[in-house]
Amino acid sequence: MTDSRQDEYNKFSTLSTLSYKCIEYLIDNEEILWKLLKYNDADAWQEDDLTSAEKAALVYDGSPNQTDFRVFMDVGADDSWADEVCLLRVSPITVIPTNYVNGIITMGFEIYCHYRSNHLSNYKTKIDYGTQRIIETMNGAEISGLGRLVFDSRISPVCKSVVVGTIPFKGRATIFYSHGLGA
Amino acid sequence: MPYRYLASASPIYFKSPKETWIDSYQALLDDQFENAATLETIQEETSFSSGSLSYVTVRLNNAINSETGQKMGGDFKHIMFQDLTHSTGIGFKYYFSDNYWVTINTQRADNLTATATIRRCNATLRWMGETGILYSEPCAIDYEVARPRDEVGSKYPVTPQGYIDVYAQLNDNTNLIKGNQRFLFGTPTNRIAYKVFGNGVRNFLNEETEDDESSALVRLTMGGDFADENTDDIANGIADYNWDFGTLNSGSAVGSLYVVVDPSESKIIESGSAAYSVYYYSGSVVQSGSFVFSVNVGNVVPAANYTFASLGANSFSVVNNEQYLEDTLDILCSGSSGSRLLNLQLRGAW
Repeated sequence: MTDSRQDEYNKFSTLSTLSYKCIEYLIDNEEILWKLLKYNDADAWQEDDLTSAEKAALVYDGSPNQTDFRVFMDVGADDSWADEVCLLRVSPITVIPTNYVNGIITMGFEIYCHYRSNHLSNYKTKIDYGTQRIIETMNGAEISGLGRLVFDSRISPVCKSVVVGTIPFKGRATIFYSHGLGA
Repeated sequence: MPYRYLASASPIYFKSPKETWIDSYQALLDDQFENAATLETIQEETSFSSGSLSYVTVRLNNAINSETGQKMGGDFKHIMFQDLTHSTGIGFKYYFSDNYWVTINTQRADNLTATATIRRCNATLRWMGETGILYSEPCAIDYEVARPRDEVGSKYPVTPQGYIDVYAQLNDNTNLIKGNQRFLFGTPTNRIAYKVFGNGVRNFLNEETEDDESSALVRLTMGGDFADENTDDIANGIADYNWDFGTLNSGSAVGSLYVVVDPSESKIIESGSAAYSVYYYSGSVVQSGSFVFSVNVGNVVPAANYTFASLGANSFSVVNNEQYLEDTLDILCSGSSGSRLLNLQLRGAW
């Protein structure tokens, strides 16, 4: 039996698709970040751009061996890394119901890099360069099902980029905010 | 001229004392080897890692711990061969008493007799390779599960702990085992899962110092993991057996014919397309025969999500207009000598 009153409440129906949508947006609108993820050497930033298929092949697809991939839709796993690689994890961090109809959400973009492959030949590090590319691409981006992502501490103090991870894999978690989580 | 005829004497007189001792010892072994209650006929690999077995008669004794002088348990044996030059070494496998045994020690450098200390393989490593090939290898698991306690307090949910060491012959198959790989042990109704630690593959104890191909015994150090009745073959003890590798299952047999699909990739990325060729095969030889391709009755994927086209008697194409993750797009390949149902995945960006 349909409960029309209950139907008015926020279902957060897009919550489980947000990581996918954000990674899809990065595939379509970003180049340098993907090169930093794919290549381990110091010249990674000046390799040829990846095709969409090459980018997609870096995203974890549920196969048994997670270490074959570089981009994940969750905050962690217990497989151990024996390669000096760079990783990206994209996932919702907090979900806050503003009221019974609307909600806000923070999305986390965590980039981790093994210290031996972190320094690039252009005097940048993968962690900082990758974080900057994420901010440049995602700040203000309109994401389907999520609304407009912002990186603005006046709107929400949770917006920040902080150091995460432990040596040998240090990194940065960059938190974006969106208030468009309804329906 | 003194010693005039010495150079024309039989070569036997020119053996070194060492050679003479060795030959005499071999003669003694030949004479007395079978004069013992420990004489047994066992099977050994015809060559290292060949997998084929042949019979050999040996003396089979209890093994002694060289450090303590104590007898080791019945899972350890000391074998001695009659021929001083008999080929053996670390990792060599033997079979007797309904068990495989693997060589864990030899004394080839300081012992005139060809001997080996072997250990009974008390379990089997089973796994499926990335291409779907099934592998198995006898292995010996140490008796103790180290630190077999649940991790409570620092983590939630509580997770299993416990470490084991597993020994097996290092060959082309076991060389495929990587860190993070899972295995199932235990009884078919109560499987216990373990996962190889990231650097838990000890494959670097070379038999020859400078030859990195010479290591012959692998030790896998594993930690407690989780059995999954959906992705693991619990009954047969094969971890990740039912995992979706994104490939179409191997051709189904129709009599002596197989229906083979190329490519075998079942995933089609959103906005992408794939053309499949379908042929009958007998062994590796393509056979004549045509198919009628159609979307299977009962298919639940909305028509707007894909574009299907039959391209003739042996091929069809599918365009992924929009991802559909709830079910597969089922294409029926109907032929006079047998049919096959293909389950295609209309994926998203990956």
